Amino acid sequence: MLKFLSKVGAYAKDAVQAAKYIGQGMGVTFDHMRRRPITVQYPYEKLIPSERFRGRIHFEFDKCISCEVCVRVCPINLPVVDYKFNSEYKKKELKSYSIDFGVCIFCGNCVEYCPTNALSMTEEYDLSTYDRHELNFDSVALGRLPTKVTEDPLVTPIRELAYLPKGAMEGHQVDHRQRRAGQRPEELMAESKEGTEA
Amino acid sequence: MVMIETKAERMVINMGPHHPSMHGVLRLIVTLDGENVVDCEPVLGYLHRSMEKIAENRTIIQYLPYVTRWDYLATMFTEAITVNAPEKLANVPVPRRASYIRMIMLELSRIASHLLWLGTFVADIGAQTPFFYVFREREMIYDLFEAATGMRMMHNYFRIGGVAADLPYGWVDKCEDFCHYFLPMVDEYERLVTNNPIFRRRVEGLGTIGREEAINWGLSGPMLRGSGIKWDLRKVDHYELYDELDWDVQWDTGGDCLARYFVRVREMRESTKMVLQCLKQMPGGSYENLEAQRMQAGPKSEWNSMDYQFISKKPSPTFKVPSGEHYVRVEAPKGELGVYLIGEDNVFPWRWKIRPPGFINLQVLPQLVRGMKIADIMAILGSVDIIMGEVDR
Repeated sequence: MLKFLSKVGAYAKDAVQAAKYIGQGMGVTFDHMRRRPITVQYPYEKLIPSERFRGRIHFEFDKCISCEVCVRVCPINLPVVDYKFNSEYKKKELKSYSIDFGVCIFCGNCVEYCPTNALSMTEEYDLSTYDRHELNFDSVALGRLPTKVTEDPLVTPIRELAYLPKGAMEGHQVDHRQRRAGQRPEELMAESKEGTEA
Repeated sequence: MVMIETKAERMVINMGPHHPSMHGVLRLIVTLDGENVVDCEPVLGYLHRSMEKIAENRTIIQYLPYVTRWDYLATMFTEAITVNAPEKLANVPVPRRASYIRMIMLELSRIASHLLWLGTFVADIGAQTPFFYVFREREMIYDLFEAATGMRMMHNYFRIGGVAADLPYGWVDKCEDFCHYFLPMVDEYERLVTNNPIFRRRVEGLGTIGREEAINWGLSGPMLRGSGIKWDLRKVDHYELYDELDWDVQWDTGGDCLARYFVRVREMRESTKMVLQCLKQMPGGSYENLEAQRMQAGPKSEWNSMDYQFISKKPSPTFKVPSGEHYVRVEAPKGELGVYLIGEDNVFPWRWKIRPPGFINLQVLPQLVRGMKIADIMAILGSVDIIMGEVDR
């Protein structure tokens, strides 16, 4: 009899425990009712790509010296540099330059190693096309600039975590023009000067 | 009276390679006796991309963008090992500031990896909610990565001798914000999952592997630490500057899925603490502070010395891997990630053998699932934490 009772007791205790912990878990889920969604409603809202974002590559024809460093550091030697050596001026003359973005992995090595900064990264990331050959950009297409998210009247720009003001954790909460975290070096200098004077 | 025949023949079923809760393209040939697993044979190679062979005709700089595709959930670690191996072979010094930046990135990456593991693990068991919560914090980490490196996952940030660029303005502040925000969130996950009776019944005593066996199978990472072995390469190998931080190896004695869960959750907390310490101790502090000091002290200031650089010397596109061979390893979130490198004074490495933790940890799976129920396979596989990208390479 006593064994039976202790069994019932243990079972009841177990049930209460289970109910308690499931309730605790549900507490967490229901707590989310007072939180705003953090999802970004693309394409009505768009995240502002970071300053270092490695999007479609921009190329300036006149800066290029046809040195082909971009080809050498590229994992698959992707950029096509077509030049002709001009024996009169003893210089290479660039005829055309192209990168196929259907193959590019946007690692940014070419941009990093370009000696004349002819290459740079844009914030363009939506490169989908119906025909993959359209992604093979020649030097004219490479010279175009993308539209900025912040200047598109149809889009609400939202900043990513690293660019929010100190304390803000979510891009929806703050206007994207509000100042981001981190003081300017000049401000820090002024502060430290005040500190030494006082 | 007709009796229903309940004794069934053994059945061989095929799980994967496209099973919805299978992690990547892993195929398991499972022999079943009713619901009991008699045997299980993993079939690998569906994601084999010749990563080791590709390395043999790429310079390190060319190869760096590839390595984030090994373990695409703990991307920073693959980059770390790819630069550590030639760095050690060529004796390239790393500035202290660069080393701190690396540690911050590595630990953030560890948190991101463990977070996704937590989400998929409990999703395998049947709890869908944490999977979505987990992405919230993971996205924040990726936001931080994007600001510092330019990409959310395929960073290409580590370089031989340091990192590609210093941290951006305000990054240190936001990273601190994240750490303070993240710790209560781990509590939240724990409230949601740890004591949940359904979760407990599913994982307690499941997939147990003992201390001796764990060592003999060559397990590493949380698999090993969950079996009661205090083995963490960050403490053992003293790489980067982990010795300057105050932290403990997280371990547990259970040896089962629950123990591995505990180890990983505790590791997330520990990593957060390590990131906070790194942010405080970093030579020069935040980038804006470093800039201010440099502007104030002029061109010949001590703030321009080696310690405060983010890279010792930018590697040339023709960086040669010196002759010699050695094995370098780091403690990745899944375990010991190593590279056995043979150089022959050429821009290309002669051999680039990768020792992925997932591959070694996966071999213990058949033994763990034998005798279990078929529904437990997913739970055990989830607790092993494999990424097919690095298993098949």
